[in-house]
Amino acid sequence: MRVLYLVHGHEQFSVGGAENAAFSLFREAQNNPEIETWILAAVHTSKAVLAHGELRSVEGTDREYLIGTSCEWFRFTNAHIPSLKRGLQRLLEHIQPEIIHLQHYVHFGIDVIPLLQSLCPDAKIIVTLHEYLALCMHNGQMVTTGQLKLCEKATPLACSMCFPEHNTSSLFLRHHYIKTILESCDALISPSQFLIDRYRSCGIDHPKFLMIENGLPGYFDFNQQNDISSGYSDELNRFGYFGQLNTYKGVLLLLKAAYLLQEKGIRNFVVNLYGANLENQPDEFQKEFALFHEKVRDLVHIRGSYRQSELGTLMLETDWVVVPSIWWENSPVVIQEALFYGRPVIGSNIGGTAEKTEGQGGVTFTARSENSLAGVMQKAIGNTALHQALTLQIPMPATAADCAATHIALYHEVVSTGAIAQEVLA
Amino acid sequence: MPAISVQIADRQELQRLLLNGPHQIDLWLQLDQSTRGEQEQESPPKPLAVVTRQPATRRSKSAAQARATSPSAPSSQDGISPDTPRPIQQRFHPAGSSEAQAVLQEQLAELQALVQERQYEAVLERLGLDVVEPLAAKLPAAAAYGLGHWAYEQERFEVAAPLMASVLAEGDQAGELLPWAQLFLGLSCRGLGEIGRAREQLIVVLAQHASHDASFHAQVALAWLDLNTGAQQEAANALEQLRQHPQAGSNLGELDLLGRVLSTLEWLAANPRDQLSHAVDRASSDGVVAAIDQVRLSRCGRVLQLQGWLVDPGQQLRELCLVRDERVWRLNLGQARYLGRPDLAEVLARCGGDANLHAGLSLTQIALAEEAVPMKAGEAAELFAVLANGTQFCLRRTLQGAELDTDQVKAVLDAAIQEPCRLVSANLLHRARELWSEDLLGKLQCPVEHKLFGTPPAQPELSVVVPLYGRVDFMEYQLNWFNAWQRRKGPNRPQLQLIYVLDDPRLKQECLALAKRCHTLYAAPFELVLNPENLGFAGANNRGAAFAQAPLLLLLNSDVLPAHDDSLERMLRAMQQHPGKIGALGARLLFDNGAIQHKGMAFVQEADLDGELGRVWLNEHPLKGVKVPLQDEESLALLEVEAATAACLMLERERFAQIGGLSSHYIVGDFEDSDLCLKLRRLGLPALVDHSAIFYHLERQSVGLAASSEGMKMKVVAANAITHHQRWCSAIERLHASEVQR
Repeated sequence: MRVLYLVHGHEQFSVGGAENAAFSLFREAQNNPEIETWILAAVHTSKAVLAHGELRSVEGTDREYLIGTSCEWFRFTNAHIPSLKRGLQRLLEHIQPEIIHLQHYVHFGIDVIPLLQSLCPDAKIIVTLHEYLALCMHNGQMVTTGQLKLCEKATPLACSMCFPEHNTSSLFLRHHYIKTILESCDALISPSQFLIDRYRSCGIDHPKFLMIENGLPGYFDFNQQNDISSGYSDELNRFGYFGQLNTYKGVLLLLKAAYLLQEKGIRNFVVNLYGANLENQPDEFQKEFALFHEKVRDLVHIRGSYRQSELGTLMLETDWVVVPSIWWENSPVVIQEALFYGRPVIGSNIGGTAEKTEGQGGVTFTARSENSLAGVMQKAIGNTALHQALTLQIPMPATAADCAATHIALYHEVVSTGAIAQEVLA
Repeated sequence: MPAISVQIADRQELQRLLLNGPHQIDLWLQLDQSTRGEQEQESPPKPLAVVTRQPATRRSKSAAQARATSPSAPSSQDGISPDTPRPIQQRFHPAGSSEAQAVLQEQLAELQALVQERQYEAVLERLGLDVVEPLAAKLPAAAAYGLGHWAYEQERFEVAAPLMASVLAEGDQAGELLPWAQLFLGLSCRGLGEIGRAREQLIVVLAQHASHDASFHAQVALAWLDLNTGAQQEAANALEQLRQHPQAGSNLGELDLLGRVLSTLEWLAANPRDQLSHAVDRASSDGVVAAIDQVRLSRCGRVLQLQGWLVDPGQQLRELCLVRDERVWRLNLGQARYLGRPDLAEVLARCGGDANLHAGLSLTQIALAEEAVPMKAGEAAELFAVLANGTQFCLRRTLQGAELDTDQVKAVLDAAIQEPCRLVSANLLHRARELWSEDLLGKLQCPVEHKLFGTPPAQPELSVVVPLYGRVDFMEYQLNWFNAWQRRKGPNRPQLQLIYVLDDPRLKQECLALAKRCHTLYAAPFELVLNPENLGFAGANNRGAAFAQAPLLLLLNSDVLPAHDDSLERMLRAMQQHPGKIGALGARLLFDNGAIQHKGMAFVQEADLDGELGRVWLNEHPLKGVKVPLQDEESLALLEVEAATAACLMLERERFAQIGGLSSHYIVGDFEDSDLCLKLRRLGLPALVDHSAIFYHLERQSVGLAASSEGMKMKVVAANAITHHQRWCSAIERLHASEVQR
């Protein structure tokens, strides 16, 4: 079976969960003797590397390709379909894929899907949804503009309040356009059940809308795992935050919680922030961050960015992984990583974070509440009983191999056009 | 009501029972189950193994922990499938039934009584064109004459003519009224622009009632017809005869004018016409100053627009005539509009006039087919004016050619209807819509660009016609939907022919570019018809329908999108299940927020609206804007309504052709759908709504940027509302009186 993956950035140029997931799947699936895979990554024309629709293969391999493209961000339609069509047509004639699996449609444009359907009428199209762009114009995060309030349901009226320059009819049409195309695919995948439910409640559904958890990349070493997963401190007071230092991931909340604990006289803990990108954040955020960090600089340490290969070492320095996201999230990779290394997760009680935390050896706190987070942290410090109980609950996260196997089973189903019931795979 | 035995296993038997007899919900569901049963396929869920952790310190997750997620059905229509036949639920007695006959007789009797009481105004307001002749047949000559004469005075010539004709039909019984009826029949024909018939009738007056008073007026009218055609000698002869007529003494004004016109024509023939000025200053002698700013004539000669100014504080101006070469027309000052001209303050002062006097003059005349004289290159016209004190003058101006377009017609409406919405000239309105119609029908005869994108199906079941105006992007949203729907339905889907009609030449390039894009992206084949000029709603739809091949036709607005996969299919199957029984089938249309935009139309009168709008029948959408769930009875049957909107209307293509498509008499667009439904009702066919066929209608978005101002818009609406009312007011009253009692 021939499978072509589409991803909105090549792992060499852009870093992100979706890119990693795509490439990981691309490589793992290749290991299966029945499957041949290729991957096509979009390179935005603004990078001035490729013209719109220009196709280029990646050096050293005949399986990876790049294509220059760009789309507008209201409806995700292509600037110029004919040039994209020519480039795609050449590649598709060569590959003749039976499955085309999109990990993202931004940059390609969502109209790449009907284009692919018309260029390869027999191919099955599958889309993995990593965010809520189809529902929400605000970076696909379902958080209001301005106030950053959590949004429960996207409606033309609600969206026109966040984006007053668009009237309800335009927003209705945007939704209709994207929904119609997504529902014309042969399967939709999401790494969290939360996302599936959210799409459904906002009017986008599919008979084959499946949850498949992201698999951890292959370099996660099972040999090391046992050593690391027993390396807790006796005090059980080391909190780790892994990820970009930005508003949405809630790092500010963590600082405030640490500050609250400090004010209460609790100082027997340490918080390590593993991540960077602070300097690219809006000024307001940087100011507030600096303000609070200043207050708790003895307790909270900025450890900078890290490579994936270092993660094991860093986990050795951590007893609890904190995921204080202020938005819904989908399936934060950091949680899967924490599960692998046997670290209980303290996560927000909303969206995908809650889904992957509750019942999986984690504890939730009230989202966006530093008080609640502080309370949980306080309870956690030195709490051997809690820590042990939680670690026993931690399941084995899906490996890249598991993930690929599940996908391949799905590909077979879809190709044989049978109807299957919905399944959840952890 | 006896319970129907549920032992009936035979599906056909069940269908027949349910179609013809009372319907019961559980039986419908039973029928639906058996229809669906063949279509469903069972497949069990497949469990998948999950890898568990080996170390004993960890608890392993059980493999059986597969949570099934429950999706909502893609087509969220829990209930009857499109293939299950549904009965028609009648609401009104059809035309031709004995009940309808009774209602008609009642109506005629009521109107007759009003006529006998001489309540002519009340009658005219309720006299639809379809009852004029039946009423005339029932009225005695005097009554018919009385009403006819009133109608004539109101410029309702299309009503006056048949009434007068019925008086004539009574022959000698009409007595004294005969010559007058004959005269007014002739004059009515003249008013309607039916010149040939007018002449015939007027000559009869002369022939049969030579020395009667009526014949004087007939002769005058004929003289003017002669002058219109440039037959000077005939007119002169007529004048001679008129001078001898016993009535001459009481009509000196008429004779005087004819005399002046003839002598002026002689003078113009003898003297160099181009010496005449376009302005005249008689301030000192007669207190009148006048000038022509421009005279615009459409090249076909049908619309004349005279613009100028007249300072005449003493109201000296009595007659105004237009001269083109040897033809003369008498202009109707009553149809003139007067506008403020502040630049003429000085002139006004000189003539002793009030500064507030509206000196600007604007006059529009419409000549219909038999009357129109096309424009010649370089042609000029003279304006001949007669003042009260007996003096006269001639002005001259070269004609400016103009293309006949929507704005010109709107200018006529501007004159016919004055603020806020008062009809001052019914004849001008009549001529405006006749002009619009003639023009439209002419344009529809012209060949048009027709492009195919993809291969249309050889035997389509349904042709869909979508007009595009102001915005073309809607085409993509629809084609995107059709593409996705096709993929889901597979080869068993109904075969559709999609016809887009671009009724906006400004958007041609954009439309073609979008069509190319759509052809590349979406597999649905479609056709594009490119109108070289804007034809309006009726024209665009009729043109699209001309290319339709399927037995069924769907008129669809560009801003309408199906809400469910089976929305279209339901309507299609419903039509196919009742061949020849449905006039038109509408749908349930929702706004983007799910509230009702349309679930059938009703005719209402809103007395508190301005002017004419307060007395005519209007189309109302009951429950518009309200969120109402689907009722059981609404999904089990096709419900009859008073009318349904053409935003989404399905009908048999042959029937559409039989009634001539959408009426060409509504200017720009509006009321064509209720007009269509009433025409179908007249044939005995009901208008129905399929409430389970649900669409979104982003109303008004398809019009895009409208150029006309609010005031003009209102006048166009009023004009069309009046036209609709004049045709159908009686039919609507009868409709309301024909409700079937349950």
